[in-house]
Amino acid sequence: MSLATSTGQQERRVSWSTLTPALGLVVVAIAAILVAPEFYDPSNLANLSRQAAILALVAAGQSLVLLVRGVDLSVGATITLTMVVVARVSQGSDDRLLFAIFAALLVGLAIGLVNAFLVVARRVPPFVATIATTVLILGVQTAWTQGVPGGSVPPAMATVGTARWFGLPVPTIIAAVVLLALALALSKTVWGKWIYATGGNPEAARLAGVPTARVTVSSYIACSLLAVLAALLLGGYIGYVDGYLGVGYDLDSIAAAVIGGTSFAGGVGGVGRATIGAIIIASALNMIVLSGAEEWIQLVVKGVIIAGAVAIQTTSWKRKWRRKVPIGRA
Amino acid sequence: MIRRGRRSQMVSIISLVAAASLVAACSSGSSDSSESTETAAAETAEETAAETAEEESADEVEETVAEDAQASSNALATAWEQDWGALGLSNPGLTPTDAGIVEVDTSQYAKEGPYRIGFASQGPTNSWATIYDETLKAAAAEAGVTLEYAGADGKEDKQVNDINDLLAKGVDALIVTPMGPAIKAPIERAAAEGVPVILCTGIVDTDTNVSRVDRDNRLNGALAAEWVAAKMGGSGSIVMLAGIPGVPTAESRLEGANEVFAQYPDIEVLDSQYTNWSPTEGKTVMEQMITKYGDSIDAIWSDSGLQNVGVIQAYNEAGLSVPPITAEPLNGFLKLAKENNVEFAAIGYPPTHSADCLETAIAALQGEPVSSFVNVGVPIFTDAEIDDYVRMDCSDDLWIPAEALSDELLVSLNLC
Repeated sequence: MSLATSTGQQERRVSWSTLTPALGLVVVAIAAILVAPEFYDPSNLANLSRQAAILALVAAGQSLVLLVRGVDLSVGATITLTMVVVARVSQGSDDRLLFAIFAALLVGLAIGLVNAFLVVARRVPPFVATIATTVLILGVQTAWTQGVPGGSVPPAMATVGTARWFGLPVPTIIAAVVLLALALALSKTVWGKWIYATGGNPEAARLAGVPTARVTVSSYIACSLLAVLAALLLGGYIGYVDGYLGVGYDLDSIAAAVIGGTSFAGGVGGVGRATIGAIIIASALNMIVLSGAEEWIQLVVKGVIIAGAVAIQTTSWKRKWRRKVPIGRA
Repeated sequence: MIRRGRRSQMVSIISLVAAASLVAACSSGSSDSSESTETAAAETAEETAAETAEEESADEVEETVAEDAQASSNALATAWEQDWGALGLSNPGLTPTDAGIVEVDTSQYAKEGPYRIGFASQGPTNSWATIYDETLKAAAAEAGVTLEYAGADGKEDKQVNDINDLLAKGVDALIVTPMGPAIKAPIERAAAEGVPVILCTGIVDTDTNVSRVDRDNRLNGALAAEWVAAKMGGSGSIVMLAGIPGVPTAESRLEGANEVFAQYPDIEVLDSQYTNWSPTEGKTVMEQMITKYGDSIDAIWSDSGLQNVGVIQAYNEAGLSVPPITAEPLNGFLKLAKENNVEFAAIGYPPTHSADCLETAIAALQGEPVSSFVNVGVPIFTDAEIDDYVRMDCSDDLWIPAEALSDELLVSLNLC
């Protein structure tokens, strides 16, 4: 009953808040023609698709957590740690690459579990919990590496990270497949419905028999694993263990999700929106660099895009919320 | 109810932190416990003593320190005269940096050894910083100095506390790698307590420190720019790749370079971007520059080897050959440059100069006059000499030259 009403609520919201991100994309596409015509150069579009795809993976994971009214600030640290794990475990050798990837996924799983444990079992606010995890990750990493990331990326991984199939970068294709699968899982499976129900109204969902705790745990784990996957693609593309690898992905992924129309209040959002948000951010930054603008302009533009998107989201939200409140109280 | 809930949250977070510190304590055998590091370094020192000029008695070391202090007062001027020659260039007309160098009388700090010296450092946040710390720790062990080490994790606020802790421990002198302008207050407090302060790598707006040991980064940037200009015969198109916006090391290099390029009306700077000293950012930025300018980029002024790793990859993927580029001697860059036959000029900023900071601190405690600014000598070379520098057997993270570090230390840090 209450489950049905909250789903009905979402469907109506979708129409207006899907429109804004799509409009944003059009604005970016037109701005590109004016600011930097090279934007539409095929090689640039290929590079851009890879940048956007990797950010979209992280943003999709972030959306899963936002959907259940959480937030994950540890994705940046997870990305950097993943590369350290891969480099150290594989020792730069292709023979041990699969083992290293397995180890990285285990680490991702552990990070997701720690986040979920703090949030679900201990009821620590997600913001605080995931910052604590970030500090923990950095501590473990520094203790382990003493600041020297060490090792190198196995050649096979670098090959995958830089290769192209049918003119498209392999990371773009891999990310697209994963994102598509995730979008289907969210829209077609029970798990997906449970995620929206848990985020839309946790109490109602629980009463309706949704295992909200397990659903929340699953979204944190999925978020960490997607960050690991993004790190593997990014690391392969860079081919170097860069201590700076994950910097900025925590906030950029939240920004991409929010620009795409995912709400901080939970229950609204999805993989498609995260992808659109990621494309908008990546395109805007790409275009500004192409135009040769200075560093401060890049920061200002990024800030304006995020602030603008959040402003648009929150205003539309309030309006909707006021109308729908009576139903939600079931 | 609420209180209990909160308490259990606290317990969770505290247990997390405890777990983290446990992990740190277990695996930091060679990082934080300076005792074991010192022992290891002392052993190494004994081994290498026979083959190096460091085979000197304690008295002789003191003499050398005093001589160094006097010689260094001219080091900046000498570097401005001579460093151009290392690349076969001459100064295009830049005014040497005026660091207002004076000889500082340290007789008020003179005391008998053995010394306890505090080292408020950045902490092992990257390979450069790790080598920097370990070099100074090894040098302290060799000189028989007890080192009180505090790593700030790269954080300004933590360093303020670190310095206060070190002062509370009653150190004889303080070496500080300042993390930001807020370090001014604790430094002035130390000076007021009569503790001589040596600024090591970095600058703070104060005149209470006894000395500053650093490299004139404006000169580094200018040297690289002049090499680029000479390489292109004074005309052509370039792009510039700088470090982190607002960081003095990056901004000073950029300043020196811009002064040089201003003297060449036929050199066009197509674009100038910051790369945060990251291979990842370097690659992204370079891909976009290649998209826009293609093969019309005749040379690249870059202020570090880090972003160059990404630059070389971007060129390889675009199927173009890498134009002449400037760099720092980072092993990962040198390896790639050798593999791809890249023409480059490398101008160093080796982390091993932290040993000079210790020398200066010891000189101050011995009451020897020290220079208010000690300019660090750096390796300067081009691709022609790459084989003398590149270490194919070592990690990409190694900063060259690393001769000041023992082989055991390089292995334990996973660097070789």
